[in-house]
Amino acid sequence: MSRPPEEILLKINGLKTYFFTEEGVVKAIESIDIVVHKSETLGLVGESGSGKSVTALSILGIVPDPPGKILEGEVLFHGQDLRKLSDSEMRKIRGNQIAMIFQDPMTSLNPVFTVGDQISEAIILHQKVSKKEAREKSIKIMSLVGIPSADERVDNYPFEFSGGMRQRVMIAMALSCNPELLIADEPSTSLDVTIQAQILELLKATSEEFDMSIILITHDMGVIAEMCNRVAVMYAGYICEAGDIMIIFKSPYHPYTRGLLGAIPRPDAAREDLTIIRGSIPNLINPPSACRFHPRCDYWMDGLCETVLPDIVEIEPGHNVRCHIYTEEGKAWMQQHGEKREISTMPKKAITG
Amino acid sequence: MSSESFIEKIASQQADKGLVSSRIRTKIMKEDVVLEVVNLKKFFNIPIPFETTWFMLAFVAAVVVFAFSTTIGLALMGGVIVLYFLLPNVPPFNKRPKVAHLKAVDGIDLHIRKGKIVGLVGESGCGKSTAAKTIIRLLEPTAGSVYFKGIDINRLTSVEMKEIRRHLQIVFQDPYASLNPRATAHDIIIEPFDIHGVASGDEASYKVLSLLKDVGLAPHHAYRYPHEFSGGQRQRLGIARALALEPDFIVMDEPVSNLDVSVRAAIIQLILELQNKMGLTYLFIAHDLSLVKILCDETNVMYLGKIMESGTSDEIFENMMHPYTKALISAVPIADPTKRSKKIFLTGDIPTPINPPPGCKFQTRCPLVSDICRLEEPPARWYSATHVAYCHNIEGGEENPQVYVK
Repeated sequence: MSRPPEEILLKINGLKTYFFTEEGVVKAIESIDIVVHKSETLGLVGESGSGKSVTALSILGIVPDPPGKILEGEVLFHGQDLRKLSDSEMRKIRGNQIAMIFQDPMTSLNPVFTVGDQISEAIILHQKVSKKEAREKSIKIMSLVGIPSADERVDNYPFEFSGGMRQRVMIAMALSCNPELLIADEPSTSLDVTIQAQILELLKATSEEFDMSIILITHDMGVIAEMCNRVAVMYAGYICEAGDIMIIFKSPYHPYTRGLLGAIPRPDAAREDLTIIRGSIPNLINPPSACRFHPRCDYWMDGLCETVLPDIVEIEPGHNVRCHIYTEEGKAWMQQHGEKREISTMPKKAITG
Repeated sequence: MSSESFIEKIASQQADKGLVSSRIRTKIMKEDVVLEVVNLKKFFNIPIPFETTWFMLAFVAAVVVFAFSTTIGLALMGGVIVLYFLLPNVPPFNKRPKVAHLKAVDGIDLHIRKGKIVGLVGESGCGKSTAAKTIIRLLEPTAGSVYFKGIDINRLTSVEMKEIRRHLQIVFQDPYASLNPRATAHDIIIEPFDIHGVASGDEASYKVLSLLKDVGLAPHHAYRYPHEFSGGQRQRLGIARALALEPDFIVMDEPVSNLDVSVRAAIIQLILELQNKMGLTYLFIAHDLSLVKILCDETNVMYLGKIMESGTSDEIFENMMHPYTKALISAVPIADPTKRSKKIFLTGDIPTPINPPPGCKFQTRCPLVSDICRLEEPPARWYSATHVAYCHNIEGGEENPQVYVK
């Protein structure tokens, strides 16, 4: 999958988002760097509580404030820092150039308005068309996302739709203004596999049709493998590894990625191949120091991982890892202690093909 | 009396009365079947709201009478109207409420042999959980029988059933909803000991601690409340409770669906470890097919209350016959970017199980649907002694599994 050098659509540098709650400061995002190219699908994967959704909210500038606050970093969309825009300028981009699909369509659709009204709202806001035209457009986009007899369904309320159809309504709403970037936050998690397959196919088809980039947030490595060009693995507020999916799935460099891939049943794997990551995701009020993964890591270098945060190391162009196994400090530590920490090629069973 | 001899006694009593057919009895004895489910059905009756016409009629009549009535008539009719509107769900006069049947489980057969993990998969709303609850008699079946070690458990009295319940346990999907928030882990696990009089006092507490250890929790967890545990730990607690009475058979009702991937793998490992150690038999309910594939010895695919296909996991995943199984398996995202599979897309959603159409349940979404599917229930087609699919439009197979038995 070699593609020509692409235009960068979205670039996030050193994003930091904290939540100032009564129990303490939740350090949800410590430092995030992401690049999204034009018409590519980037997967953002991690366990629950790793900060995936907060990243999405931070991009759109809709982190609930208070308690949330974006402290540092820049979000460059077409080279323009979204964080420096005023509210009204941001409102022109939100829903128009960048749209979002939320995880639970029932709670994110307004139960007291018809779906037609809700889809039209964005169209009227951003495209300055009449109510009637907006309705026509809504019907068109609804049939585009595969809602049968859209001209009748446009006047239905959200509760009259099934789960899969509601998610289609959400997608219709997001697509209504032909966005350049779509952020899909677990779009298929609450759906059955057969419906999930339909929704993912729809996303894939529309992204090709509209030449749209997608940030796909999910915890399902299978969905990532099916949908994405590149993947960024998140853990407790950091991106620990990012790169082309072919590379990441074949030979993950970060111990967490390796653990994550080992923990899911693979098509040709046996029971014995399921591996476990010790412990559970840390409380982000008091996260582990330096590399936040060190208490669960099999490759922990005593005295280094808990004191020095590893820098991002570029293994090859576009493949970044944040782990001491690959840093200069880590290599020095290994030499000093005479121990070798190396990620063996793959979680037990290598992918063939 | 020991539990085993109790089971023997009840089983022979039922056999003497002719309650358990000799065919099932020999099967259970010969093949060591722990659980035999025969044509199990569970329907729910759903009252249909009254149509407003009755109220409208009453109202019109009242208005008419009102127009011509004297003061006494007016007061009387007023009273009737008020009554009608105060009690909107009272059936009009002598009409009985209308009822629809929700056929959650509509005739399923299972046999679960000792030491096996049997998978039951299907989309949400297909009746998996209802089937599980009916099998361990948390719900009474509408028809059909469940035989546990040769005992028809639906004929047992509540006292007898209590004795049998020790051997049939369940782990629920949502470990938070199924644990009493006001009881500590210790109280939760000790409750079965109290109820069955197995142990008390220090002995019981000691057993609690050893159970906690078995499921990978520490002794100091015993005095915590469910909200103080993480999701994975809570599920471990649910498993510890199910293990307390040393059951033979455990229903796992989506035990890992709510958990994160890394935690999920740990719980799966625990489930397998316990099976090895205690010789347990599981009915494993899931919608994650890749998990079922590696975990279960046998797999049953369910759709709208009926089994569509069943067989060993190898047969189902390598040689599936039924169009629904094919679609379901192809829809599972595979965590391998080099193997992006061709998908079979089913149109539409799973239909409602209220008053389903005659014929095959899958007819509304089936890519192979033909006229006969809308009229007749599909026949069984056997592809080996264990592999059966129910479909009109698939090739090959035998009508009778006996062909494969030598």
